[in-house]
Amino acid sequence: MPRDTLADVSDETLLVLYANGDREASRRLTARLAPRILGYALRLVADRAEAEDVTQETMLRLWQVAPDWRTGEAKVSTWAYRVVTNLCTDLRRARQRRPAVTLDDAPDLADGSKGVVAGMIETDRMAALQGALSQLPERQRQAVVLRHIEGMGNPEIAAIMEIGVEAVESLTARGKRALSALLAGRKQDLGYDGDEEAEV
Amino acid sequence: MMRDDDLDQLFAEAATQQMAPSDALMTRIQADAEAWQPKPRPVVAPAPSRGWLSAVADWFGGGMSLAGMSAAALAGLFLGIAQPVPVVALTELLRGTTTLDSLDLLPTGGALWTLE
Repeated sequence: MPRDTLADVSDETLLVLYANGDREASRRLTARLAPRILGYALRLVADRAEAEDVTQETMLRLWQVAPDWRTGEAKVSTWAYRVVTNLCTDLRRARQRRPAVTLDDAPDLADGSKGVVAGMIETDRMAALQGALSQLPERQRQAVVLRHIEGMGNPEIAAIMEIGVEAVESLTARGKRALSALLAGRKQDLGYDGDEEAEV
Repeated sequence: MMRDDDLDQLFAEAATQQMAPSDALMTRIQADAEAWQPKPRPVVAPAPSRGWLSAVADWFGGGMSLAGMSAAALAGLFLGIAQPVPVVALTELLRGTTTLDSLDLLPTGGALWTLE
């Protein structure tokens, strides 16, 4: 199908077109979904290489399920986010099974060079947010990212996390409170010191 | 604690950040898509529609059955209208209205055409 005619087509229609042999449909679907999936995976695993692997695996599973896709049952994006969530959970469990890395295993740094963590913490607000997100319990992190960064509604989050809407509300509320407490000590990095003085 | 407004502002900034996948990742995803893409299904022409006679013949068990039943029906109609002598004699005998010394059950061809 010509490129411009696919611009307004739904994700589900693109998937059906792909299953029917349309090559352009897969390119269009990848361009739509891959950046979102990568962003979500990166928020969960905080590692670019692992997030890219999760993105590729999620898209691969989408291609595999395409011929059997039942239209009208679930949004393609909801399905993809659910796969990412589960893959990231598996990844975290695999990390926990791996032997812990000690300081002796770390490569020597040249004099004057900054550590990776120190570099992230510096003044970057997004790095501060990511650092705080990484400290949240896994389910709270998933719920907070989906609600406040991906901008999804509670019913869709419930479908992705395979829990009830009330559980989603509880996780996002607790996650946001914990995040607020974690970031309270980083106000200077985040540039909020001036605001606080103005309030006093 | 951090103020809710500040946290919401931070979330809003994070939401506007676009994660651009690398070219290498996009190439890998596209290669997977092509490897797993089902082959286009061949278009099969619909079977030509059949006439009502074929449908009736199928209902009676095929064209030969229908031809046999039609021949039997025509033969019955002919015997009913023409009433050849041997048939009338046989009917009367069976009803007991007459007695026959002999009955030719294999009449010659001409007898069939003799009207009463």
